[in-house]
Amino acid sequence: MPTITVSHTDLNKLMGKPMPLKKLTDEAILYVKGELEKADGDELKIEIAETNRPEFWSAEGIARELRAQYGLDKGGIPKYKVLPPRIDVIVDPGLKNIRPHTVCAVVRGVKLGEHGLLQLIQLQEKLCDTFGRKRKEVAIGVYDMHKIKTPIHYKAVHPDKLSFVPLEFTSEMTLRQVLAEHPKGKEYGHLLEGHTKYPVFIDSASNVLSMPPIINSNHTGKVLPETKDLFVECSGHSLEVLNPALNVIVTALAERGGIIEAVRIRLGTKKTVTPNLKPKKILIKHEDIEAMAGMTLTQNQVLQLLKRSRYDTKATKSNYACEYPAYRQDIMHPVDVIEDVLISMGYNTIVPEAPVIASQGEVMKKHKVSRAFAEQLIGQGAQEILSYTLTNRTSIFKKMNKPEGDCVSIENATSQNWSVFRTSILPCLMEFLAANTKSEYPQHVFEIGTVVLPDKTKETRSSNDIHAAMCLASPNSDFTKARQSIETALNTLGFEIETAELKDNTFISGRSASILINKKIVGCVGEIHPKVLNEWNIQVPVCVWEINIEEVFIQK
Amino acid sequence: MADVLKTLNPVERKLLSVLRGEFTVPTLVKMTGLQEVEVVRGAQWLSNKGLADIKESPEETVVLGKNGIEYSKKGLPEQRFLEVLTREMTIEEIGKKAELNNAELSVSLGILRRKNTITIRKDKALHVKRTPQGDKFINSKSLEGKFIQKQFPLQIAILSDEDKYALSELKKRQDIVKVETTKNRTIAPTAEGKKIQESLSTATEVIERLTPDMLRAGSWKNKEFRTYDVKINVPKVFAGKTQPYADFIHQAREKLALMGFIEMDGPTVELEFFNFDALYQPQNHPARTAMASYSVKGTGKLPDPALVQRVKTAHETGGKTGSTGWGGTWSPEVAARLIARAQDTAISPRYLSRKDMKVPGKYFSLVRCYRPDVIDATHGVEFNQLGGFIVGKGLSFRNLLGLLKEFAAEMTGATEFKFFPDYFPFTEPSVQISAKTDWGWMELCGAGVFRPEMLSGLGIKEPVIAWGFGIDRLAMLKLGVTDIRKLFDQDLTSLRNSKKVML
Repeated sequence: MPTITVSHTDLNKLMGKPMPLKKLTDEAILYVKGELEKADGDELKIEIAETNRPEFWSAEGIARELRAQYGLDKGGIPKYKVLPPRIDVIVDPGLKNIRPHTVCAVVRGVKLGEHGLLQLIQLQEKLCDTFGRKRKEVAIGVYDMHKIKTPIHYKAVHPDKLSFVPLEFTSEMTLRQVLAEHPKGKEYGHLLEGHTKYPVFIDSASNVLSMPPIINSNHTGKVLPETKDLFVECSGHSLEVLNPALNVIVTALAERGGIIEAVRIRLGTKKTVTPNLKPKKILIKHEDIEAMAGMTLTQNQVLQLLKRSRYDTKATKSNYACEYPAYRQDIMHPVDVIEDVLISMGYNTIVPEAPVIASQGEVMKKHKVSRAFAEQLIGQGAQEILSYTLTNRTSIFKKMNKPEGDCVSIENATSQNWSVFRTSILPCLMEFLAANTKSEYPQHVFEIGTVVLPDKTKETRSSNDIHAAMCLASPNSDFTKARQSIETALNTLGFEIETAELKDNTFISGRSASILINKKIVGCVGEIHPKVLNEWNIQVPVCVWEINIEEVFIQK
Repeated sequence: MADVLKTLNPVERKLLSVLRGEFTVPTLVKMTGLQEVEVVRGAQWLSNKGLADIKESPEETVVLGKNGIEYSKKGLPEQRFLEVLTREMTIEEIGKKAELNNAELSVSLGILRRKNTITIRKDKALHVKRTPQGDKFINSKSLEGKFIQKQFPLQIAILSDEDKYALSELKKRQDIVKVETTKNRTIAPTAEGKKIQESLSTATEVIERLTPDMLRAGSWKNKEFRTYDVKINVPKVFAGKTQPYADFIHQAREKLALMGFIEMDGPTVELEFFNFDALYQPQNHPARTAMASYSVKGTGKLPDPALVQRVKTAHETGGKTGSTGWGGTWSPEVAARLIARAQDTAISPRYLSRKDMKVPGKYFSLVRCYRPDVIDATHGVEFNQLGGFIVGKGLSFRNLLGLLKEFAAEMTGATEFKFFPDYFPFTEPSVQISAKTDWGWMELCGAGVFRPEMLSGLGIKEPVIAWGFGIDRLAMLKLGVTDIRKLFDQDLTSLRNSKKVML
């Protein structure tokens, strides 16, 4: 979720009436799903939980929403005048498989100032990053209109046939060089991977505006606090995403006195005019609002709440025909509008009412028996431990003196230490003992937890089991003591065990056994081989057992 | 007085009985036959009871250094120098014969010349010859020579003037003698101790430990038991204990069951279908990138085709819900990818899509989830989540708020709480409850009403209110740990000293 920085003074100015800091941060920002992270003098860091409403990611959008909520304007859809197009953007059909679409606008007479410029840059960044999926879906360029000779071309160009000075650079680079050498080229270059031509915006004087989705040019792409007339373009793959992004930007600029002027986009003979700020429509049933709210509401109450959420509404007897601003693209279903109604009402003003559903709760059997089993081991004086289920191949195979085997592995592990799921709990216990060689002995420790085993027959290609394992580390621990421990615990819980010889290199030869219940192998017990103890740097004898709790207690 | 007598244990008795004057520890060891530690400890006990005085005075002793030990066997270098000098010899020759190194040779030259025992002639090399004075010295050892033959350590206080002179000379030379300061401890009875001594021999024997033999023979009768100092600290023992976080998780499960919730579970390695698609999370959602979830090698198998088809429709067109859906084309290949379960909510659609799902019903799960992260005090790659839902006719957002308020009170004991509008891809409306805890305001639980698109995919007609706890944060608060890694504590000592925490 985006975290944005706004100025309290600037916010007050945009709202038209100052609001005390406490009221703003305790109450008002809840209307935009905001939560104050930090107040540093005039500078407020606000986290906006709503990832689907980019119009809340700038001071202009927040102020606009709060004006309606606090009756500082009439509420309903804000009216922005859009002047007819005077300039053309000509789109190259050759971009079809590269980055086919652009939507553009001109905003004239905007009073940016320092605050406005910071908000514009921040909004642009957040839109590209969060809403635009790290520029894949949306890349945005904002330019000083006076440096551009129209019409503007959006076209595909060979990487070596054009060069320009990228933003904040001093020398010219070819498109290929930008991708290979510029920091932004390295960061976003993968988005153009595999293409033989790259997209550029270029004006009629052959000045490059930008190379989307990488970088603007230093010549036109530099906007200053005093820049008045702006050209805005959004490029990407889908108009459904690009249009709202453009609308969010231009309506934010309009909040600072800018007059929006449309742009004609020409693709061959096809002409479209952007931005399109025509409101969108949705129908809401009164009964659905009441059902969700869990209370009765009058039509008038609902209409007031809708107006405060910037809907224009025509009510019939039981329905509301709602229109909402074109900068919104989050509304898919009436529930999205109903949430707005509830937010306007204020979550903290709704009287909570716990649901009354009579039901018998239950902990899963495997967890209940795990706990009963733990009680047995605690009664034996052992210390329970808890480890991560992620581990590494070295720990589960090499350090246990086992041949490399099969396990479930993570493809994008952040560290080799946590790159596979454990197939047994013993390695975790050994790691624990290795980390505690300075603690007093005897060390009797156990763990009950999940192991993950490869299983091709399952839809997730793996299966989970709960295992229990214990280590008795002490100068006089031996096979007998380990066997006594597991046998006593299982006896108490109603199981008789048998043992059979087990060949396993983790253990001293002739001192390990399988544990069987009703002729079925459920675990093992043995004295750890000195080679294994050496691998873990453990200086005392260790005897262990491990069983599959689910095999024992839950007949599979 | 008699009371004190009864408290004496066998060591104290033995010690006190021989303590007829002021003695050092080694002397007392010899006198009693006790171990040194027993004497030291017994003296301390007696002193605690006011029966003995322990005096400590610093004492300087001399010990031999590395060279000193060697010379005590072979003789001092200058002595050996003089002894091999049967005629005029070069310095090299002397070194070889007397086994002296250059440093030792030059020291010897200096000393012997000062004592007029040799003459030196400088030719190409140094030639040395013994004087008549030197001949005398062969038979009588120097003071230093005698000194290093003594038994060490030596108490400086008892040295003769000659020894003191020898010591001062040897101290100037390299690593022959060292002076060490040790604590000299002497023990003497107090006036009270002396009185007790009188009655010690005549006092009746006290019983130290009751034995089966005594019980059988009745020999304990008419005898007294030694009394213990019951206020004294006893050594700690390690009992078997639960791991505090494992115990906390267990208690949380029990609590949810008490509140009427039935526990659910699902696989650790999960299909993206259940972790995301069935939750109506779009396929291009940022949470579905390698940055945000762990992908597992291999491709999974999608469940029941009818379920898959309904979920696909919900994503693409919204189906019959009146929603637009996300649009675009839903890919079964993406849904069949495997990941390490990234959120506990992945379990909910598995249960909601079951044919035997009970409605109305209350369900919960408390499971391990995984997310790629750099591990630090607030982030782990593995963590637990506690979540669940209630399904039933007529459930409303207001009911959800009521449920959250109940949770906040049950889980934290908080009385002050606040709701925040929130956003989750699969709920609308969405809400988060914060409660005022010992750590200040804390985000406790995210919740919402499952979206109609999600429910239509799963084939559920009734409303479902859902919630999820950051159980790790809550555990940290309850267990009083500030580092999330401490929940999986790998330090045995701290586990052995851990306290039981009741949720």
